[in-house]
Amino acid sequence: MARGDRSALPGGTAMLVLALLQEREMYGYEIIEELEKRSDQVFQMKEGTLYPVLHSLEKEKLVTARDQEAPSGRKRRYYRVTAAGLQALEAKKEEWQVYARAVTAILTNA
Amino acid sequence: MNAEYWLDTATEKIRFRPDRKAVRRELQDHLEDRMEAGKAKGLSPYEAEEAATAAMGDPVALAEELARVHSPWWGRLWRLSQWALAIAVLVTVSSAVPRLREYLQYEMYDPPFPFSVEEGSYTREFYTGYAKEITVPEAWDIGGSVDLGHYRFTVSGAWVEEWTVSGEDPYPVRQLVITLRASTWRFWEPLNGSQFMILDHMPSDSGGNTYGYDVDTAPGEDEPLSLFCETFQRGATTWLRVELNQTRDMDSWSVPDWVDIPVGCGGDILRVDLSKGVIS
Amino acid sequence: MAQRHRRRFLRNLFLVLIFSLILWYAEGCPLPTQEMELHRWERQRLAPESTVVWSYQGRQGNDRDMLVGVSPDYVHAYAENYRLTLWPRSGDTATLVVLPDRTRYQDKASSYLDPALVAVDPPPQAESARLFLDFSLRYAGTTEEADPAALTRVPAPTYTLEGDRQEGAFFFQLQRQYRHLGGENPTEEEQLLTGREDDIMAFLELEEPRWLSFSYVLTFYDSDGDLLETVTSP
Repeated sequence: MARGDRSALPGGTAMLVLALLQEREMYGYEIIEELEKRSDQVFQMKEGTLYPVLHSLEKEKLVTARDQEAPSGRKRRYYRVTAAGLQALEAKKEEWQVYARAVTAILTNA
Repeated sequence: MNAEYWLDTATEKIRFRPDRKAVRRELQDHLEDRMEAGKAKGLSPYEAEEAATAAMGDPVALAEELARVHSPWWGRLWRLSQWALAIAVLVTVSSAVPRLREYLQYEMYDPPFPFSVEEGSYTREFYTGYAKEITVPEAWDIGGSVDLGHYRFTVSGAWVEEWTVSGEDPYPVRQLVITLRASTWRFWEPLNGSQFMILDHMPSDSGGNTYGYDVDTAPGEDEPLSLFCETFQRGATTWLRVELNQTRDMDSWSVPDWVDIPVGCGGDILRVDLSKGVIS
Repeated sequence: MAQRHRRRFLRNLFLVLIFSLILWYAEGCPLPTQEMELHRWERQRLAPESTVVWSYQGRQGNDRDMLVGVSPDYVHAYAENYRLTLWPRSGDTATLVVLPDRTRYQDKASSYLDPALVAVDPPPQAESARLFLDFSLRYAGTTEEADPAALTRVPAPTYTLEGDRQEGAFFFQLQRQYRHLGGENPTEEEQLLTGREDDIMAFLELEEPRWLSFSYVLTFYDSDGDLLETVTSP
C-alpha cells in the first residue's frame, strides 16, 4: 500500500480503482475525476500513472475493457470489473480494514 | 510540454507496435479530455495543453511502467502466426486447387463397370463408345464380409453374363462375373487393386477348374480357364471386377457352387459361395 | 490486449494446422520416411511387412529412391511413389530381383540411366559376385530381320556384370553396350544391336515379375576368390 506500489493487487491505487468500477464501468478520465471528487481532492495522483494500473488489472483479468465510440466521435476505452476483480477487492478491503484498525488503535492509545 | 511529444515519450518503450498505438490512443483520449476541461475553465489552447501534460505526470517514468505491463511477446507470436497462416493458405490453395480440379474430373466419370446387375439384360457402354448387349440369366445376392488387413471385403454383385462376340465368325460367350468391394476407414490407403491377384495363386472353383491370366481362348482339358480383372477406385473404396471363364466352349463349363479367389500374396483366399455368403 | 493477441495466436495456429492437414491430404498423404511409404504400399497390396535390407538414393532428380526388403516368402522391391514388385524368395540360396526403376551411373564423362538388379541373401562370407545375363532365348525363333543370317554375325545379347557389395546385398548395374551405334547411318547389324538392346532395357524396366524371366548365372566368391555359391535361373 505504499505510494510507489502499483503492482496489480495490493491496496493503493488498484484497490481504489476496483472499488470505483464496482458501481459502473468507466473510462480513464472518468476514473480520475471520480477519485478526486469522492476523496475531496485528497487523492490527486499524476493522471498518467493510472494507466499502468488499469492495464495491469486487465492483464490479471480483474477488469475487462472494451472500446466504445462516444457520440462526439471520440473512442473511449471502458473498464469494467470482473467477478475475480470483486473477490480481490473484498480481500483487499479486509486487509485495509485490519490495517486501519491497527493504526487507529495505536494512535488512540498513544 | 507538447502533447504529441508527451504521448510519444510515454509510449516509446512499448515494443509491439499495435499495442503502442492502442495505448497512445487511450492516453491521447485522456489528454484531450483534460485539455477540453482546461479550455472550458478559460485557459488558452497552449495553457490547456501545458496544464494537461503536467497533470499527466512524467512521461519517462510512465514509459517504464507501461513497458513493463505491455510485454511484446504475445503480440509478436500473433504476428508470426499471421504470417504462418498466410503462407499456409497460399501454399495449400496453390497446390490443392489444381488437385481438386483433377479429382473432380475423375469423379465425374462413371465407374467403368457395373457393381451389381439384376437378372434380365442390359447394355454395357464403354468409354470408347462401343456398346455391348448383355444377357444376365442368373444373378446372386451375396452377403457377409471378410476383413483382411484393414480392408473389409464384400461382394457387390455376382452374376452370369452372356453375349455374342461379333465379327466374321460370331460366337457366344458365357462367363461368371463377381464384383468385390474393398473399403477401409483409412482413407489415405485405399486398396491397390491393380496388383491384386498375383504370383503363384490362381482362383479355383468347386468344379475343379482353375483360372489364369495367359490362356488360350479354347483351352484343353486340364488347363486353366481364362481370368480377367479390372479395378476401380474412388475415395477409400476399391472395386474389383473378376471375370471367370470367358470362353467359347459353353457346354463343358457350368456355374460352380463356389469360387476361391486368392488375394494379396499372404495366401488369403476369399471364397464366394454362390448359395450363401462370403467366407475367408 | 495480451489476451486478445494470445487468443488470435492460438486460433491462427489451429487454422495453420487445418490447412496443413488439407495440404497433406492433397499431396496424397505423404509419410515421413521411405520405409513407412514402403510399408503402406505393402498394406495396400495385402503383402506382408518386409525388413529393409538395401536402399538406394536417387541422385539427379529423375531416378527414384529405392528400397529392397525381405519377408519370409518374398523379396520386395520398391521405387518411391512409383512401383512395388514382389519376387518369390528362395529359402536356401540367394534371390535375384530386377529393380522397379532405373538407376543412374557414371560412365566416363556422362551419367546414364539403366535398369539394375539386386541379389539378396548372399552367402555370408561372399566378398564379390558376378552376374551373367543371357537374353538369347528371348530372340530365339524370332525372325527379326529380312536377313536371319544377320543374327549369327552379331554378338549374342549377353551381359556380364560385377556385383557391388552394398549393405549385405549385391548390386548389379546393367550398362548398355551399344550406345549411339553407327551415328547417322547405322548398318543393319548396328540397328539390330541397338534395337535389341532397347528392347531388353524396356523389358527389364517395365515388366511385372511373373513375366520377367531370363537366363542368368549368379556366382559368389569369398575374399580369396574361391567360389562360394552359384545360382542359376529356373
